[in-house]
Amino acid sequence: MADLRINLAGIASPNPFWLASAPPTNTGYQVQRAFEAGWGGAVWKTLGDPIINTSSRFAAVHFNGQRVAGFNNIELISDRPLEINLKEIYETKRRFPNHAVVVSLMVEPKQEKWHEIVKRVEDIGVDGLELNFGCPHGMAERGMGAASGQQPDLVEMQTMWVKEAARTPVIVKLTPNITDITATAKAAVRGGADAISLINTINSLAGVDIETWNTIPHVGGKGAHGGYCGPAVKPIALNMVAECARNPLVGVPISGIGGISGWKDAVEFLLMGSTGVQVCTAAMHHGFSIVEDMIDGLNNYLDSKGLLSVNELIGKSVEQYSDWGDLDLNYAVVARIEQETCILCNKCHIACEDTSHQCIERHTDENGAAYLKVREEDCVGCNLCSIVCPVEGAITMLEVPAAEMPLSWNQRQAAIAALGNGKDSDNPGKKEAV
Amino acid sequence: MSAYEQYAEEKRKIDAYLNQQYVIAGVREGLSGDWLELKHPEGDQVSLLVETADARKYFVNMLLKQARPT
Repeated sequence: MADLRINLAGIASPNPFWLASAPPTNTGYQVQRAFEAGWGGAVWKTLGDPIINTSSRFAAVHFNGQRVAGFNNIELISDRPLEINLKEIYETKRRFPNHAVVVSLMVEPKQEKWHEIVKRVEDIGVDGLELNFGCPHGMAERGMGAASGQQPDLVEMQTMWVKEAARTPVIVKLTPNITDITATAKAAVRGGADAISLINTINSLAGVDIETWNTIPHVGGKGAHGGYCGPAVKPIALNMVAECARNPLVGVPISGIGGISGWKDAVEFLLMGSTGVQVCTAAMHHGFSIVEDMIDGLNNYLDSKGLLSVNELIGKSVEQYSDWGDLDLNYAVVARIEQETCILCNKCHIACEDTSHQCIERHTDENGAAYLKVREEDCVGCNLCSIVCPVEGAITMLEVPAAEMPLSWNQRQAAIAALGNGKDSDNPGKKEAV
Repeated sequence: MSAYEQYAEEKRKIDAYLNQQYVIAGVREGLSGDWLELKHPEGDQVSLLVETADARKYFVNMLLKQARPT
């Protein structure tokens, strides 16, 4: 059994699995049940001036039989008075002193508002604060949430105001609804953030009902954009976490969020620089008990790797994440079809022929049996055939032994530039077209 | 002609010049491909239009070898 304890910027937790600030962390009843189930921490649903929610609120995107591939919500922050939330937070922390109780906060971008809520929340005893600069709907229309989180200067200033009053670690939660998330991550760090968490939800419209022509969801015939999350957003979140993790001007611990549904997802986020992870949609889909599999899976994985602590995973893949211009142009893989496994469905042939590089050929052997074969010299190693292949192991992507030294695009351009020639001439003096 | 055959043809021409002691003296990139400027020690010059992606990668491998001390 490996040690699953983490410490995120001074916030200790018995394991890296936290519930994210969202409907599952709305009440003390829920958070305490979550802790009983095994969750290591929870970020309490955002506190601020209590709001009024609409009905209906949630929608999901199902894809090819997969329920809840993506999840959309237009629910806002807590609709309960601050005093009630504080009372339940106090009771929860008292019952679970070793679990991480972090409270999400959102108020108008005014110094006195931030000071007031920070003091009131910290007075009841919490382990940390998470500033919600990411909520994309409703609150943003009132100048809060993503409206603040999309402006680096507002992120920096509000973080600074919070740090003026805060005694506990401050996590800044970032919105993905921005071109470059490192811009706001760096702003948070300049403001004094102890950690960042990402991503919040992505602006979305779950769908349109093609019978009624209403949005999904709709509120009495009208819709508004919501926040998208769930398994579909994981690649977007993972990239943003990695971009922050590898940026030396960020340099603070990361709490990873976005489509984490099981222990394997969590491992990926840890490898890409997260100290811990936050989960919402998977818990909403399957209940709090999913954390049992997450803990068991992570434990077994660490044991299989011979690792004593989950902390040994943190950031181990960050160095492998680079810029396209630094990738090796001389590296090559080609597809190979395993004839014994192939079921001749032709998916690879069609995909390659119609949408890639036309290098999978259909042949007939001497017995009249059909088979598919990759013309390897023309294969560019795009992986498409292996992606569309329905049979595990029927198509293998093989590394081609490198004939040359590694050569990146940046190295290529530097070598050409070193020759001292100008660019962009299609009209040289003496020429021979190859 | 397959992409590989196009590349092989361009590579064959580049190698032919390099084997005749031409060196890569300049590269000009354009919308049609890369114009490769080759110079012979005795002064002869030739320009080759290199169109395929693999050949445009290949000649830079050769350029780096050319720049490396042997």
